[in-house]
Amino acid sequence: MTSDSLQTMGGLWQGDTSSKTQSTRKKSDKSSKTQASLDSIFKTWRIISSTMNQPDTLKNSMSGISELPAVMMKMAQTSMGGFAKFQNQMEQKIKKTGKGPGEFGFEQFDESFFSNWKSLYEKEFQQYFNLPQLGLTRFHQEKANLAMDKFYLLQSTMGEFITILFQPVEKSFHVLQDKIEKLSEQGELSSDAKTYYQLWIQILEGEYAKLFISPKYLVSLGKTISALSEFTAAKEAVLKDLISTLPIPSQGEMDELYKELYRLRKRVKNLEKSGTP
Amino acid sequence: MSKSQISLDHILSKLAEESEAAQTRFENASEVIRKPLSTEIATTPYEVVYEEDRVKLKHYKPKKPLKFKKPLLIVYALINRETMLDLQPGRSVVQKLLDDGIELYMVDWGNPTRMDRFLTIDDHVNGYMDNIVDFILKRHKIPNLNLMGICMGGAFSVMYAALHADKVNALITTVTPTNFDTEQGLLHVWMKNIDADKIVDTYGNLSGDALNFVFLLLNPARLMIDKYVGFAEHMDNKEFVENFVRMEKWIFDSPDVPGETFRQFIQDCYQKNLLIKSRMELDGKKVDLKKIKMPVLNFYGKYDHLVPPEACEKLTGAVGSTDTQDICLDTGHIGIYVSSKCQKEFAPKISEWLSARNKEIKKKSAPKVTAAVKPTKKTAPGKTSAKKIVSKKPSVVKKARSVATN
Repeated sequence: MTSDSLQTMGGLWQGDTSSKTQSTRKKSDKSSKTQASLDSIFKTWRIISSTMNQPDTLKNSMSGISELPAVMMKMAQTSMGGFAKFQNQMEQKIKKTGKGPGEFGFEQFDESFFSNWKSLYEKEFQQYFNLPQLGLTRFHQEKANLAMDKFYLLQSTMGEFITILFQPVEKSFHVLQDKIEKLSEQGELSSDAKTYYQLWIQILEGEYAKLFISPKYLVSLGKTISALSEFTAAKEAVLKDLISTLPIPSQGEMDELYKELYRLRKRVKNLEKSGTP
Repeated sequence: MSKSQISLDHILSKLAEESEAAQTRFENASEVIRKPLSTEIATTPYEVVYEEDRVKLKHYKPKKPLKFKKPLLIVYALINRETMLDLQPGRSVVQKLLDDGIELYMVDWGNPTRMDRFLTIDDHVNGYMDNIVDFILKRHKIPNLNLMGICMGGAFSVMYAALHADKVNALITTVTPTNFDTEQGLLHVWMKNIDADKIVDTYGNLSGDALNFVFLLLNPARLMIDKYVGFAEHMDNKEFVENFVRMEKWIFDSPDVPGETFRQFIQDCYQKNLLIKSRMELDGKKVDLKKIKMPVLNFYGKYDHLVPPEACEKLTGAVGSTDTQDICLDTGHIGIYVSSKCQKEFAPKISEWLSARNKEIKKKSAPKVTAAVKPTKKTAPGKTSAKKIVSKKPSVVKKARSVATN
């Protein structure tokens, strides 16, 4: 039914445009440039509508439309597959909670929420920020995309770093619980709350000391600083584009000026010191 | 599980008592913090006698007769401020040295802005420091002076002494990192994993706030939690609050570090450890530690978590001087200057050591330099005699030779 209607509309359009072109030609024998352009447009439309009027072409187009749900389903499945994997990893992580403090060795600290999210992002979404940009604004769009990309990477890297940073707090409470239980068994519980606070602080200090030299932390620290620097640089590139439309010098331009000033100042000082007039 | 010997109701009643005490404490505390507090730092009068770009030279003149002619120039780090040496009356290294009749000059590096991002270590050492030294030498008509460096400023002083040995009579280094190949301090571990190029190329200067955050991370349990719990427990004590706020003022007063200086310090020192190997170069000039032939006194803290003993103690063995001394104090990085225990050891030891290496002024004379110095109300301690004070931990004298070099 849809193909029938389109065929009828194609026929109407073809007839309409061809009659309009003929009448226009009759009105003016000396065709101007505008007229020529209009003719060209109408001709193009006529070809398109005539092509659409062919049953085979129309059928092919309609079969493409009918395939759309299947394509959409496939795309959804790919994305959902990534989410399902992510959910599965999260489920595994949740299962681990509630276990004893021995499970929290920093060396064994597995890739958790943020690193999983980062993997998902890099696999499924990052590619869209790397699509080749076209046209007049391509460089600006590229910079904006890069800033967005670096922002998402920073979020996940920073999130992972903060999670690692809070691990000692989590572990210290577990260890404290164990210690209190032991003290209770030995009948050595103190009635002074400050004793438990001091005990906790001591445990926490020890846990941080262990964490801060662990390879996991050092890698995460390096990655976070890099991610922050990369995002800042990408963000500044976008801001530089925006600023270029305003009568404000950019940081880069100021730096060039500062460098020039630095060189000149150093040269003058050296000349002064060496006694050269 | 056996039954606890303390009953739950006892614990609860104890908690109730404590919460009552806490309430009273907070009521009193609100009285304390609402009233004016004396939290000024660096109150010892001084005169700015030299200025170059953002850098200032502070001059402190003792009220007492000068002990020796050559003044002591103190070079602080680019991280935090030199005000730590004059934190408060009674806890002031500056005041102690003045009371011992030592004339002081102290470098105030100021607050670097984006404009200073291209300044290198060479600009600080062979530029500002050398100009300051020349100014002082000319002012006092002397061939050389006594130089004391603190932390990064100590590393600068070591470089300066190696490159301008003729202008330094005696060198004192305090908590000065010169050997960076150590795993003792977290900073040394972390800095090896830092991409200094990326940081400097992105941010220009290294932000003081970022540095402070790194320092807090060195021990978050103590520096972010326990410290403020301690404050809450004593905030009804006016003197405690005043001292605490003074320290907070100093700790968080962190200027940015010029980018190129940071880059070189991280790469050449922390990552390549060039200084102690005499392979560091400043603008093409090699820093040869063997050229340090003047007397060297090297202080460091046994519990210093920023610049651990291993980072400091190799200096005296690497220099060319035959008159060297290491002193390890039972304290941390800041404790050397502010703890009451070290106040009795640190400054008196400097005074004693310098006296042995400077020609003492026999007659009672006023300093030749004319400078408007307001009289201070500081009570002269006089209670501490240099002869009586020795480091609790015996000083390890490596190559001691008592010399009066003037």
